[in-house]
Amino acid sequence: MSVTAVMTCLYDLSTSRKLRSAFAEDPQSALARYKLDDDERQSIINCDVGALFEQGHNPMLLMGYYMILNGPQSMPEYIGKMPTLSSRLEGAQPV
Amino acid sequence: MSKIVGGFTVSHDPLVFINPRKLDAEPVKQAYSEIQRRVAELRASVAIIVGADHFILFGPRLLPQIVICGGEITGPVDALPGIPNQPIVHNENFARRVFDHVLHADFDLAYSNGIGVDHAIGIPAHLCLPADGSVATVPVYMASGVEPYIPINRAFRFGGALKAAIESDPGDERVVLFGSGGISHWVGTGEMGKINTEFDEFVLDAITNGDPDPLLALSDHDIMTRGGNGAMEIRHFLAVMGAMPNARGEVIEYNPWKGGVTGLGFTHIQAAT
Repeated sequence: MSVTAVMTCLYDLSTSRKLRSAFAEDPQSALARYKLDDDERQSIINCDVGALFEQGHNPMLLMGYYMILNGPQSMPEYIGKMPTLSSRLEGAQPV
Repeated sequence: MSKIVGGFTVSHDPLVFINPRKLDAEPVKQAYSEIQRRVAELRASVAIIVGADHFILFGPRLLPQIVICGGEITGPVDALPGIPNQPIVHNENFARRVFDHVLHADFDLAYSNGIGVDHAIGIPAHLCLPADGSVATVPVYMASGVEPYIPINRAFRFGGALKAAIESDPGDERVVLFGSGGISHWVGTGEMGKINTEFDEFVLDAITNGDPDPLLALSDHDIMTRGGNGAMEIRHFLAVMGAMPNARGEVIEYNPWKGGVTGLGFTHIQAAT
């Protein structure tokens, strides 16, 4: 798992119009510059925010990436796909 | 010498302005107006606004713990109806003096010579400060939205360092401090939309009692369990409380507004006279 590569890729998709445009045209090629494994690449292409959250990624980052790719009207759909924060906290060591 | 003339804590939920459910947001907007009135009444000249980045300004390649911006400011960079992205008055000399003082007090900070702020800074800068530009903004970004989070005690102690910097400043600035954020909210998770009024009241009680200890006793796990990941922003309130020890406050407005996703709390912390 390449946490940094996934985070960087999601952030770049959220902030770079140029990357989004390339991603819309040919997602596999657009993501080639990131050191992602096959599952990660497919999760990003499929907007599988639930799986990305389960991998430990920041929900704020996931929301921004999902909204910008799917539009603000997709918020209910996004929330429907997301696990709860409490599911992540269960069993986590208090810090 | 410069001095602190007041402190405020404010929420900054963008949905108050986007208002997708078309509910009445006036009581919340009135709270911003009331704070703007009080800032003018205090004859403030500078506002130090402590907020969090929301993975908008800083990406995973660089995640600063605390940033002070002295240079030019624009914002909010995220589109908010009724709040245009435009220049915000700044005060580079004062901001730099504060930065230098805090740095020499052994806080390792990042410094920005110019920044496009997001809603955390942009909302209070535009809505809580007089529209005539008489109050300059000094943005302080704290790592409260994105891991690695600044330790909560360090956020509080940063407030103490701010206090020392302001009180030793040779200028004649009248400074208001803003803690921007919270209270309970779950950002981007399955619980999004949930508000924990019991937690919100617990936080507001600590602020108005001038007692940081109940908040400092919370682990990050406690905060996230009771208030969601967005409640990590109570660090900003603690920074203001750290700069104003024992100062009591009053709640201007608390509204678990159904049109948004946040327990919206607004307080005024009275400076010692």
